[in-house]
Parts: sequence; structure tokens; C-alpha cells
Amino acid sequence: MKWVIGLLVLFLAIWLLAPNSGRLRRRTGPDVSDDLVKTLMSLDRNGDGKLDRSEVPERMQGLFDRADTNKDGFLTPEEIRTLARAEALVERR
Amino acid sequence: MKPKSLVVGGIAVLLLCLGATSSTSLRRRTYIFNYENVLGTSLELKVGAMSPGAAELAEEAALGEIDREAKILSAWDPASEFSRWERTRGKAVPVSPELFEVLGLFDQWRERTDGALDASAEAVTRVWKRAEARHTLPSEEELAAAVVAVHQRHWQLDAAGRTATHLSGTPLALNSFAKSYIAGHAADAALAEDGVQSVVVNIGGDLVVRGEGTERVAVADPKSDAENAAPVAELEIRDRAIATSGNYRRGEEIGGRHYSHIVDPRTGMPAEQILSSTVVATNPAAAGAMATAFSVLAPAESRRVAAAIPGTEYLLIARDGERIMSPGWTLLAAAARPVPTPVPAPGPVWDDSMELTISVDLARLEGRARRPYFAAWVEDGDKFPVRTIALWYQRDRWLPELRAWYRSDRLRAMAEGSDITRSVSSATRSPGHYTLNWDGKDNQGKLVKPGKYTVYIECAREHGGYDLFHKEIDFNGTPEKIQLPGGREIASASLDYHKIAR
Repeated sequence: MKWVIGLLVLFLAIWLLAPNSGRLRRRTGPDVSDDLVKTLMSLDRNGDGKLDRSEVPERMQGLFDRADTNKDGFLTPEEIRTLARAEALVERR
Repeated sequence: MKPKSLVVGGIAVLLLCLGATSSTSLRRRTYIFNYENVLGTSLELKVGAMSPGAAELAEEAALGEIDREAKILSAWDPASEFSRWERTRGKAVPVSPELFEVLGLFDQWRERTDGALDASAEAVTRVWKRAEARHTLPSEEELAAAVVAVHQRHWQLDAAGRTATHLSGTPLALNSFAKSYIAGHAADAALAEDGVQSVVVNIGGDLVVRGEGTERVAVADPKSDAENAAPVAELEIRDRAIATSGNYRRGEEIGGRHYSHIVDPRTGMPAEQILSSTVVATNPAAAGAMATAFSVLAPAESRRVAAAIPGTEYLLIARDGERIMSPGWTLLAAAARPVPTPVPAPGPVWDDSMELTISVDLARLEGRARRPYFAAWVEDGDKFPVRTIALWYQRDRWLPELRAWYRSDRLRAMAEGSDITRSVSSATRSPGHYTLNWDGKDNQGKLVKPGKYTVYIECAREHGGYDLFHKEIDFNGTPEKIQLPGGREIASASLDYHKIAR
């Protein structure tokens, strides 16, 4: 029985310690990723369900370096959503 | 591992982790409190403390001291001790130590400045206010009568009985340094709380810095109205007070000409030679007194007065733009922040003889309300936010309440992979009129291409309202003026794309 209590105390300790060691916290803002996907997918002029470089304005070309994870030269709604969610994670001191 | 050692080990880890938690909560942090309608202006209190509890006790102590002294010194409150005393005549009235001290300080400063600082300057100020109301200049007789009224003896102090006898019927006001005087005592009261290391009390732009650490203070350019204009100086203030007095924001408009609200009580005329005077001194009341007096005195007289008070430094900006500094002023200057060097973009660029001026009026608030969060930015035809012009907020946590700006900036952050929040933001503002300029540069400092952009203004307040205005403008070199509708938080706003006056 004692080892059960011991384990419980250990888990409690780890649980209490965890928030201090974790450096990444979710920004406490609303999830706007769907909204961002919609805005960006409105640039899909040829309607093929993905964005190529010619469809994305110059100022947003950086999206390809950051969102095109499979490096096929296209941005899919899923890739945009993944980046949007990752961006919501900000490092807090 | 035996069960017993597991329990001991678990408890040891638990104790260690509790130790870690308490050691992180014992780290010093800065806590900021903002209030409106404090001594007729706004209050910002910054407390460097070991815990939120200590910071809140410091906040309470500072607010308590401000309320207590306002009840003594306020000229606006007819029930204040000063107002009650002012209604007496020819009678030795026992007064509080604070009122006695402030009246005594006015006597000292009247002497030191040869009458340039005088509580009865209020008599002259009222003549000019009446003149403005009837849209004519004051007559010579009116001004001469006011100057005669100023030159009388207004009170007599008796230190033994701590009494003050009010002698004249000339209107009096203590506001030239009462604000700094009270701020100093509020800072001392906050610093006296356990676990508090540093305190900055800022009442309407007059600051008192006490305790450990320094405070970076920007001195606004009196020649530019824009909130995002570069300051004339940035200082590092440590354990001192800073006060600014100037005629550029307030005053009377008569016959299309601006007259300063600061008057020379010796002549009855508005003080026009000095646009702004900023004084740093050890004693807060001295900083406030000298800032007002130096707006009136000739620079040579100011130098003589400052030299007699050790630890005093000043910056005067004359009407012609000349900057007159005390010998040690430059020693207070903060290290310059790096300025990004802009690289010109290929193709047609923005006409740099033009700029956009955004004017906004933040609506008046009732009671001690929180200040609104505010953002102004510009999006291009692809809805990309090329430039955030202003972002006034206090806590990260509530930043998404500026929902349109937040959404727009998420898009930018995805493309650019950077956080601009820190570099573009500044403190929240109290109600009033503000102007902001957009010079056609993007967030990286490059001029944008000419063409159509949409200007956004957003304002949100906790337990208050929410306003969002936007307007597309063709920035092609042709001036355009647009009046935007008002809302609950932004009383009115306008956009003016115009030639830069050089």
C-alpha cells in the first residue's frame, strides 16, 4: 500500500514541477487558424485547392519557407492550418 | 526500491519542487497600474516588487497618499483644506503640515525666481480665459489690475503655531508643483512597503523615480504633435524626479492665434519664448516648480536658479527650435537605440513628400476606469498588414481583444516568422486627442509602392466598448481628407493624406 502512496506523491511532484520546466505556452488568444486558412485560400485563383508561388503575393512568399513542410512547392489548407497553430505557440520567459 | 524509500524520495522531490516554485515567485518583477481621473489627469504606477501581493500593497499605499493629499491641496475641490482656507481672510488658521509646507515652498520659489513662479498667477490666467470666451484680447486695464493683484502679499505663515493667514483676495492655485509634490510622497509611501524595490509614479507626465533601478523617460518634441514622432531626448532617471511644462498642448485661441496657458505673473503676458521646459531634480516639488518657472524666465535666469539647487538638470526648447541645456544634461541621456537602415525597393515608390496623419479622440471615461487598447495599421490590397503604426496595450493576455489587428498580425507573423509586438507597442493612453503619422514605410522601414491601402483603427476597453473603423485610400500623391464616424471608445477620427510641411 505504501508504494502506491509513494508513487502518488512522486506523480504529484512531477505534475507540480512540470509547468515550471515547460517553456512553451499557448498564447491565450482565440484560435484564428480557420480564419487564416480561409483568407489565404481565397488567393487560389485556379481553384485547384492549393496555392502555388505565382498565386501568393510577394510579401507572403515567406509562407513557402515556413508552411510548405513536404517541400512540393504548394501550400495546402492543412499545411497552412498547421503553421497557424504552431505560430500560436509563443515562448514565454 | 523499497516502498519506504519511495515515499521519502517522493516527498524529497515534492519539497524540491515547492522550493523551486517559491524561488520563482520570489523573483523581482515590475507591476504596472494605470488610473484615469487622478488629480485631473492620468496616473501610471510602476512597482518593482518580489510578489504581486507586495505590489498591490504598494499600489494601495500610493493611491491612499494621493487621495489624502488631494483632499488637502486640491484647488478644484471646494471642500479641500486649501479651498476652505482660501475662503478665510485675515485670520490665523491652523493648517496641516502639508499645506503649511506647500505655502512655504511657494514663498521660497517666488523669491528664487523673482516672481516668475507665483500661486496667484491664476489671477492673470483667468483674465486670459475670460478673453478667450469673448474672442477678444484682454484690455490693458484688465491685465494691469491682475498684475497689481499678483504683486500683493497673499498670506503670512507662523511656524510656531503652524498657522497660515490668508491676506489677499487674489485667486490662487497650487497646481504648478502640487502634482509633483504629491507624486513624491506617493512614491515614498509605496517604496516603504515590504518587498518593494522600486517605484515610478507618473502623474500626467511628471515622474518620480524612487528605489533601485532606472527608468527610461522620453521627452516629447514640442514641435511635433504626432504620438509616434521621435522624442527630443531619452533619459535614464534614477532616484530623481522629472517634470515638464510647455505651452504647446494647452492654451487659448484668440483671433486665430495661439496664446500659451502659461503666463508671466510679472507682466500679465503669456510666456511665449520657451515651448517646453523639462527639469530633472532630486526633490519632486523643486522639479515641478522649476519646470513652470523656466517656461517664463529668460534662459540666463533659469541657469542661475538651477545652479543654486544641486542635482538639477534642464532642457529648454525655445520657440525657434533652439535647445538650451544645463551643463550636466547630456550625462542623463540614455544609450541610443539601434535604428534600422532602410533599403530602397525596386520599382515605383511612395511619394515621400507626402504623409498620412491619423487624428483620434479617445472618449472620456467615467471614474477610475481602465484605459482602452488601441491599434492603427495599414493593409495592402492582399489584406497583408504592411505597417502597424500604433499599438497601445498593457498585457499580452488581453492583446487578442484587438481582434482585427490580432488576426491580421497572425497572417503577417506566419509569412515573416517574427513578433513585432514589442518593437511597435507603447503604453496605453488616457482620453484625449492624439495624432499619428504614417510615412509610407512598412514594418521593415522600406517605402511601400504607391496605390491603394486600407487604414484600420481599432479600440477595445475592458468592461467598455469596441470600435473598428477602416477606410481605403489611394496613396498616389493626390491629397485626401476623410472624416470617420465616431464610436463609443473613439469619439472621432480623421485621416489626412497631405504634403509634409517642411
